[in-house]
Amino acid sequence: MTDRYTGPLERVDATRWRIPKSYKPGMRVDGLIYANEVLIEAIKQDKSPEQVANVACLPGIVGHSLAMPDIHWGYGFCIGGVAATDPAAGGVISPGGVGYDINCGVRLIRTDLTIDDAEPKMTRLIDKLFETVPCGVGKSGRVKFDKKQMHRLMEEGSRFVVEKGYGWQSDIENTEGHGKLDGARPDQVSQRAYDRGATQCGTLGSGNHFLEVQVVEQIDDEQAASVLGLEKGAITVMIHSGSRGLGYQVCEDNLKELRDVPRKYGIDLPDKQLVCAPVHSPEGAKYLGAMRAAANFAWANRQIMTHLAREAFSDVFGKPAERLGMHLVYDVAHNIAKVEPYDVEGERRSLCVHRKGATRAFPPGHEELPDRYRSIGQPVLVPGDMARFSYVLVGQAASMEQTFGSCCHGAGRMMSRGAAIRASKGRSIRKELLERGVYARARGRTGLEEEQPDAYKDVVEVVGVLHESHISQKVAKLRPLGVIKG
Amino acid sequence: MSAAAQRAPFSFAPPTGVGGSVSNAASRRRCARGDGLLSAEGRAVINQRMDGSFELFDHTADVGVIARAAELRGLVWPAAMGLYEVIGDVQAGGETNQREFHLAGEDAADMLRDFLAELLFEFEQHKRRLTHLYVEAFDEHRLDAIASLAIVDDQRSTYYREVKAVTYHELSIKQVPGGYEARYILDI
Repeated sequence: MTDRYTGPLERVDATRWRIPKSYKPGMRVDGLIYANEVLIEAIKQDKSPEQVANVACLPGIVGHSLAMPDIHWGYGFCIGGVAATDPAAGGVISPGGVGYDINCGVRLIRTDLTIDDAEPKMTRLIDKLFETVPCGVGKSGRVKFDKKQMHRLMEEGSRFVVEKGYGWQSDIENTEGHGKLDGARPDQVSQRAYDRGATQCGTLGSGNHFLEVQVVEQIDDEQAASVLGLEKGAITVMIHSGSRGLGYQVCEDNLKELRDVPRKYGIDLPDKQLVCAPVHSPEGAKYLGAMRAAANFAWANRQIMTHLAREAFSDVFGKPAERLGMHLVYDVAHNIAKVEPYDVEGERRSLCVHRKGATRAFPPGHEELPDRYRSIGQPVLVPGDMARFSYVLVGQAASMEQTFGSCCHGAGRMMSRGAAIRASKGRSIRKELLERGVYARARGRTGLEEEQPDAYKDVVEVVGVLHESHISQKVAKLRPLGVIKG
Repeated sequence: MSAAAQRAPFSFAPPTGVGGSVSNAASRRRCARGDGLLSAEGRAVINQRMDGSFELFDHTADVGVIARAAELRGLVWPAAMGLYEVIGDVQAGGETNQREFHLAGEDAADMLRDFLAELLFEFEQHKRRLTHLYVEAFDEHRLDAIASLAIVDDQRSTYYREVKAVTYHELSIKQVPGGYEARYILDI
């Protein structure tokens, strides 16, 4: 399918592999990939390690160019990549390090329902969710915003839509950064992006985005699970989506505007998709302002879908969502760039951390965590695939020492979309999922085939690497019961 | 459609190379369209016929397109057809309008990408797809084209997946035996 990576990968320890900076001219730091012996073989099958080396060429990069165990070939940056740059040392911001789907992320809602309550109604529930939550190509949302409202939404994020009735105050507290990035500049967002976003807030999208109903299959950490409100046998809802057309357009606009900027600042890049600008430059500031606005849109998007999911549950189970205990456990971003403080070589520095298919994983005691989670660490939500498992973890201390507070974001693809469709020939993925206890509805004709379980790595392996590295700790394993896809 | 356009003969030709799926190993399609397009003012009928082909290639999470043509300007049409192939079986409806493209730059591949990004925006935001194309000029410095865009017939169309963007990743145009080859990767 694609070219294999044939460059160096030196084993550091049981879970880390190094690409030395001597590998290619221009690398400023080593690359470091988190993987075990099984995963590293899959990782070498595409060019993603080459992308880790390319990112190591970015000006101002600090520590290592990092990749999580769910790494796979992306564009510019690999998916699963983490790179921190120091703005005070000429560090850059790269839209390719965030991705087109700005603040694509995951949220988890717990319920008081048990599998016994939900299983008999699963078909009706999934059908109702499929009807209630707009998904698929070109689907508009139920809520439309005018330009003035969009401007406020991009400044305020989740809070704006919660105040309009699409959610609860506690949703804001349980969202990363309270569902808002400060410093958003909606005035730096193009009219095109406004237009694309105006009708898409509260829509799931397509591709790997999903809304899944799950059951808590296993508890690994009773105390943390109790704090998170998770019990074995309880029903949960996971939503994976991002900033929709608005975010794609912000990325598109800025990649175009930044096309000639590396030359202006004398930056030599190994891949066009890595275009960037110093964080402390007019171009860098403009992208950051627009990216933050798109990130806030994404939080509002997932917030509205939370409201819609609650409506669907309420309808099927005949009780208000409050009485079903449908509280938001947490919401994490996994395509984002944030300025965060870290200790580097004994000095406190503000770094621009790019997480492209990587989740923040702050440890217990971190000041950014909500009070209720400060004792256990930040919840990290790691979706697996449609038939196996997803995980809830909590961030651990090693994340601050090794990965700029970052963890994996999913299982990671290992099969291309084409290969997945070819592998589905003569099979009904929908039927196979049903036989494995998962009722699936999808809008796109090839959605289930492309996203079939075999297309992904085993999330158990991926999560195991980060658990073993003390980057994050397993709390609960969730098994899918039903899913809707675009 | 403008009154002038309604008076002039306009040969609507449903494009070939649309339909199928990424799975099809033989997703290489020949396309020979772009003929019968009106100038922007509807004053004259311009005929342009250029053969080309496209095929899709695998990328871990995304999908790539390779377009081939004998001439550089002949790449634009098959490259566009590759984009629609990835989105789905996108059927044109009745209402059509025309749009001129005048792109300037220093890199032909960048300009082709910009053109494709415009087509993606037209589809996403206005539900319009390309039906005819006249490429007046395409070289290292400019891409001038007139495109006929028709409203998509949602009832007759089948969508496979949402395309987020036309990326710059491994974007290229190169000379190959017999003509030119363009490669681009779509973010899914």
